[in-house]
Amino acid sequence: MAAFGPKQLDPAAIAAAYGPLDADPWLTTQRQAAAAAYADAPWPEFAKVTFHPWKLFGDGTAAGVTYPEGAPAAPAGVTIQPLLTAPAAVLAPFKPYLFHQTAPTDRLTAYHLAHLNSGFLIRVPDHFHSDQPLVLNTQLLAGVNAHRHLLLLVGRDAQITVVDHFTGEAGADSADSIVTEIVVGEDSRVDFANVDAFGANITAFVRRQAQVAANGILNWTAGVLNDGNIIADTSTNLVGTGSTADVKVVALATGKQVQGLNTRVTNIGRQTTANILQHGVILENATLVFNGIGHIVKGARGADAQQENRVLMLSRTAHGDANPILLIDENDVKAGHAASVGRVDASQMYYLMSRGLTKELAQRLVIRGFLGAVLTAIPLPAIQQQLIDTIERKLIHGQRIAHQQS
Amino acid sequence: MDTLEVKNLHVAVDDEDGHQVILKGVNLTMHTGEIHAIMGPNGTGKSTLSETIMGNPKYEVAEGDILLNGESILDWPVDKRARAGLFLAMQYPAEIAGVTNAEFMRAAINARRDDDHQISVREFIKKLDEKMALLDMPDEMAERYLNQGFSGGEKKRNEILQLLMIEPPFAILDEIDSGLDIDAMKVVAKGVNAMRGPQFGTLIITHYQRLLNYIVPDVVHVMMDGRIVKSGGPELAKTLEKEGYVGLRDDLGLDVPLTDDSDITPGKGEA
Ligand SMILES: Nc1ncnc2c1ncn2[C@@H]1O[C@H](COP(=O)(O)OP(=O)(O)OP(=O)(O)O)[C@@H](O)[C@H]1O
Ligand SMILES: [Mg+2]
Repeated sequence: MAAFGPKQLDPAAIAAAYGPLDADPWLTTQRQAAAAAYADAPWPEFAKVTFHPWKLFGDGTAAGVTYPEGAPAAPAGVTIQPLLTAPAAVLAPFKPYLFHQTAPTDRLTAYHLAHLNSGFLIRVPDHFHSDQPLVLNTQLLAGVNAHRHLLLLVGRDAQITVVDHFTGEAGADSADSIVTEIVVGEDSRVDFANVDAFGANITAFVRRQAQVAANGILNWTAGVLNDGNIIADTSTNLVGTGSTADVKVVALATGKQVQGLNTRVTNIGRQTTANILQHGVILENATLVFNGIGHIVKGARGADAQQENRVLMLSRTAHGDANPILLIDENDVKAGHAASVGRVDASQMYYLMSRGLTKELAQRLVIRGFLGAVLTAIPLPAIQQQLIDTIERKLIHGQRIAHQQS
Repeated sequence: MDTLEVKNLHVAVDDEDGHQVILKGVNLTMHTGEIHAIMGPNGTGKSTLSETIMGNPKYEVAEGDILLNGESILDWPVDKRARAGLFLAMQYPAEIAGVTNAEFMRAAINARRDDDHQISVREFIKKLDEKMALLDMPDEMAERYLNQGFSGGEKKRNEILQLLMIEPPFAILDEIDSGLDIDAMKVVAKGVNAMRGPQFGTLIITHYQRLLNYIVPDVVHVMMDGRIVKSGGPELAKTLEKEGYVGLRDDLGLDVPLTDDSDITPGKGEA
């Protein structure tokens, strides 16, 4: 479908086309509401990224995803259900949360909600504790537009690790939307990692939105390692008193792609703590934009919001931006930020190569070192390793393509 | 025995001031087992010569050739020249954050080995400990980022550490002694002397005759205005120390402008 998307969506047509996917008619009414909201909804904001002309819109009732390791399985005690086929009784406990954090207030979220064609509901009960991670391995299909929604609902005093890992199938283009809602209950701790490695043929809008209740902890690791054009919003609302979010992002941009990232934590409750650490590397002609958004709302007394955004460019033609955006509406708070956009210059590459390292190896060494500052801070070794492997793969792939073109 | 030959080398750079010819026909032949020294006033092209031999893409060879064991290396990129046996201890080594010194040296050693013969961690650490001890370097230097925040003297020592770890057949040492206190100079000299032997040849660029008291060269070359104007034994360095470049220029009847036509003496020319 064309760039900029349709002018409007017809709720009746959406209901007719997508209603048959929904086991609970309530879902269809949600689609219709989103379709109705679409025409007047503004674009989501990604400062310094011109994504509007991208092919972000594409419909279709086919799921657009497969599960290379089989349907996702949950550890005993945790339930995981497909969203669309969930009957009303299954959906009921999720309804107070589902689509609440991702209401159709922007054009792309509205489009996503109207066109949902796959998704999961995960419920982690109160007092659940496990060191065994719940891993979702999802492959985005070539030529089939995926609109995938996930709700992770974690009760109180629970602890779980969830890895949301995406790869892409090579082939025809597709326009995908991946939207996730995370709810962390009181006194719970969630380690959430998303490793996004969509292929070059996939243009996507990614939005993950979390809320954390009192004394809850969200450790969030995001690997943004796609090959196509992506905008990704990773946002957390620290709602409850004493809640904490620690968000670590590593990103790698290669080829001609553009990856625009918003990483946001909003301190709402008192004594809340937000930490954002993002490191990104750009090769060749790629563009990577980090918008680190720290927002302390009025009333969030004793809040602490820190962020560090760093971008390293390995070529003259790379484009990078690291924008710390601090919005502070309360006095009794601590906030700090650091940002830098650096370049590995020709003299550094020459120095490394003068000891016999190939250009490719020299680059990988510099990149690994730079991203290592984030990778080594990731608490779970399994997630760390998965990221390291994915980074290495993307790098070698990116370098091979660059090599062929030179 | 390996051989490095520089034949009638003409080199130019392009900068804001346009096309500038720096080397105007340098001839030099070195074999492993030999120590050569090059001295010469500031700005005569000593670093240009070393960078060109190493393959710095900033320098363009206009004429002449560089041969390693009879094969021209002009078309080879810097990393290939390095793997073939050349090493340059740079006058101004780059700083690289995020890459540790140890990790870098291990990669450099392994770049010379095939996949089945990579150096083991244990073997690497043993060698590293030994070489760092020889150079009086504290252990933590290995885990620091490459040259990042190193003092001038630490950078020089680190260049020599890399030399000892990589053990190349040919090393060019560009002002490895500049900015070093006398003890540090002795340590660096000890490092270079440890490499001395039939498998190793080096070209030492220095402004100070003093270094050559510690690393005694087989041949001393004097470079002026982009050419080697005189070669001799170690005594040539001593003569220069006494008479300066102006004296030598006038002895040779050369028409070469020197930056300061008052008596420039090696060792006093540089701050
Ligand atoms: N990359 C470059 N761009 C422009 N000019 C250069 C470049 N490299 C060298 N030059 C010029 O070439 C001349 C020789 O420089 P070079 O660094 O080779 O001298 P040197 O003999 O090593 O001097 P010193 O003793 O001061 O280290 C100088 O005039 C210098 O300004
Ligand atoms: Mg020099």
